Amino acid sequence: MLKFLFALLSKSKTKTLSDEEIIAEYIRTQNNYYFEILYNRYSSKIFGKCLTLLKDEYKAQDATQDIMMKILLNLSKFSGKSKFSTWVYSITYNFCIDAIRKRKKDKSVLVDDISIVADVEDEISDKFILEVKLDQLKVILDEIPMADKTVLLMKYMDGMSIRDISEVVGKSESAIKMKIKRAKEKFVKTHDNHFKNAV
Amino acid sequence: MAENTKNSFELLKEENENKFDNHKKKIKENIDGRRDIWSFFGEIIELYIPKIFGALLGGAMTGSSSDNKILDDDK
Repeated sequence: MLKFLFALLSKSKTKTLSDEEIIAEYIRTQNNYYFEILYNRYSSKIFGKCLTLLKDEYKAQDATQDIMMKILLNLSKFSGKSKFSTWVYSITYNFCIDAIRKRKKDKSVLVDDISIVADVEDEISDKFILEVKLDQLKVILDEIPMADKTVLLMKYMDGMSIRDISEVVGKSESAIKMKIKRAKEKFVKTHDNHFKNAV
Repeated sequence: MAENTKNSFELLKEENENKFDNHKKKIKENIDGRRDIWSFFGEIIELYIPKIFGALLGGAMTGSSSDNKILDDDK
């Protein structure tokens, strides 16, 4: 009885643990229970992201499985330099981009056009981007290039900082600022092409 | 009321994450299956690699691994 109560208590305690603490416990004990907690915290988020990028529920399902396995097999490599969620999103975005690349045989899916970097002055307000209606957003995201879509999703959907995005993409922060500026311009242009004259 | 305060990116995120429920069971089953296979192979490696190394080293030291088996049986 005492054993049961102890197990119950420790289980309720683990639910309040941070991701990093859970990873440490998983690495220490190799107990699947800790992986289950991470699975419950992140699987729907990973699926949602895969669906946004791959635009197919069954492809998103397969991708989620592969990404979760990748996370499980690489948990010991998580250094803790960035937040665990950033690490998870990094794996997710890179996995989906690779999948799209293979599908399109396109090597320039992500951030290839940001090598020339200037000091960036962003003229389009976040307010405009965030106030676009949901059905309009879907049309715009369908139309803009994958590289632009990806950075916009990282910034506006995941609320990632420039620093986090630069870590995920593997480019400098100023390069990411430039990429976001260009992506916003394409976003507005696509919006205007479709909806400017709409009532 | 809270719905109104969400922007379209948040709504799209929510919409896509909600579709997870339709795939939740299948994804979990497949991950568990793959995890079982991994741990099965892990156990096999854990069990047999030391024996194989032992046999190879023993074989190299005494001639062959079957000699060791006979010697072990005698004990």
